[in-house]
Amino acid sequence: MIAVVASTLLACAVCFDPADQAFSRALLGMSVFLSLLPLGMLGGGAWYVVRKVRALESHLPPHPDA
Amino acid sequence: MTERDLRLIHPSPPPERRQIVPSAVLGTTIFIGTEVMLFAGFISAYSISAAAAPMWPPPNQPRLPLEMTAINTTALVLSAVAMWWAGRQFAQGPAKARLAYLAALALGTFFVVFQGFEWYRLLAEGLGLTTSTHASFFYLIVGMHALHVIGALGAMFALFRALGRGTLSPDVFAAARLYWYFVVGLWPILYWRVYL
Repeated sequence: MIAVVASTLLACAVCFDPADQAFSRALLGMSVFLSLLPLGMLGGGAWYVVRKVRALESHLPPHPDA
Repeated sequence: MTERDLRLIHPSPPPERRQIVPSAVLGTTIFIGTEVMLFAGFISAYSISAAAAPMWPPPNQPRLPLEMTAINTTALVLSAVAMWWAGRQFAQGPAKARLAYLAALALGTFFVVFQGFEWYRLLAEGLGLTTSTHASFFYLIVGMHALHVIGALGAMFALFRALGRGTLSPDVFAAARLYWYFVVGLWPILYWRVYL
């Protein structure tokens, strides 16, 4: 949504001058950065746990009922 | 009586629970996550303010010490290398890690003392907290990082005593190393954004 209606979103009280391209780019860039960063951290954590579980499972003896 | 019946009467013991991540490391990781968001907020605000300003940093204010801070950055990165080496040595025997751990502590302390000296020089040159938006951000971001380094050093000094007594657990040491890597890894990003 940010990418599609960027010019509309920039029409807020704190955006100083929407015609200022450098400022608009910074605002958009930082919005994307702050949105993706927590998702990236959570994804990284999940990836680490899955990798660790798989590594542990590969060293376990087979289940007696299997 | 079949084997299945025997297993119903004497069920096999529950499988051993194994920790995927030690509790100390998990707690530290969650704490680091919050710290990452704190500094991301600072960097975001700094970047937007920089983009909105006609001149950044503003003219007629003392120049930030790029070269000296680059040397200081090297010292901090070396402290992380020493900490990594201490971790490797610790696996062979806690006593073997003492020298590398002490080197990491010394380099970290050097970083803080050197930065204090730089701040003193900048304040003497007239760059105060309210000199400009740039100066305010500089003291806020760099000061917040320095507080984290000081806090980490305090914890590391306490752990060094435990290491000397032989009571430092591998999990706590791993958590301490993780936090130190975070503090060190964050600094080059701050240096790049604030100084360069």
